[in-house]
Amino acid sequence: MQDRASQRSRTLVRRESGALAQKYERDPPPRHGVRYNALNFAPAGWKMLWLGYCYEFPAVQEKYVKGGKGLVYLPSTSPKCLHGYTSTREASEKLVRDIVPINTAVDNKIAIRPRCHAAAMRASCVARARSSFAGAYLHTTHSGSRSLPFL
Amino acid sequence: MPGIWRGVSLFAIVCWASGGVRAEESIAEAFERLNVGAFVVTMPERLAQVRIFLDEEMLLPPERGVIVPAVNKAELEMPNVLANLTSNGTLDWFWVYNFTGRWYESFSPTRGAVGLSHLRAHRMFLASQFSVAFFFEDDAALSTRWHGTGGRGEFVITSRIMCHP
Repeated sequence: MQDRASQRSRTLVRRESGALAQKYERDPPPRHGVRYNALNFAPAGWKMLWLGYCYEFPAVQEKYVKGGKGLVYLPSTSPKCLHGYTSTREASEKLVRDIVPINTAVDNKIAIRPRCHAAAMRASCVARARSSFAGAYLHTTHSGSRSLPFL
Repeated sequence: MPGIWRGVSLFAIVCWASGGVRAEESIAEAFERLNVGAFVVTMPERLAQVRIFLDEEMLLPPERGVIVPAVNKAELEMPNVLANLTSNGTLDWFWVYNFTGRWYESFSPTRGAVGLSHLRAHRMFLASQFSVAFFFEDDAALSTRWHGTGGRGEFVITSRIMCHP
């Protein structure tokens, strides 16, 4: 029974992948779109980048770091949710040291760490990115915690 | 071709490290050059779908896509498990047994399991040879277009493959 379900799901995945492939063969995506431009305007020295998040304190949202071509990068002090982020080795080492013992929801634990903004990591500890017209790069499908497009 | 397109989306994530992009690269080549690993925190029942996504959608070589088995909340409901985790200092005793703060910060097996899963993911990253890790949960969807109306219908097809196979 399980095999059949698995087989069905694989078939579905392949069928949909094929449809997407055909779509992009017909209509290739632009190479110089917002995501391409994003790379040339990135803040240097980031340690963690939040690409999918649910909420950020409004006051923090206005702190503009660097941007161009419709992209804005913001220092982030309290990103909520963990459905998509990148981390360097240095940041992960620090994070593993700091979050144990876990004493609150882990995204809060990561986000609300005063030490995060101290010397070693500074503002680049956590950054997040958005595009004014492309939205956040990652979304979650949880109904209650979708990425907010204008954060 | 589709691999490159999705790669563009992921380039925005991983290529910041290098400060530049090579548009002709596939995502696999970019991951190779930047030494990035994709760590997917996933529940066991979604493992097959995530593997297919990494292999056939992102076109990553198997060694670059790392599956992080998520801690199931049911594990934390088993006898002695919480006691062991608090006594060995992984979970805070006061949080688990004696928390009196705000409700949304209180302990629940789910919150505990999420924390432990991400901790596991970071430890797996540190035990690996990758320089940068791209962590995502198995309900994350890579977006390639604006979803200002908030409708699920605007999610790219990959999201349904990942989340609702």
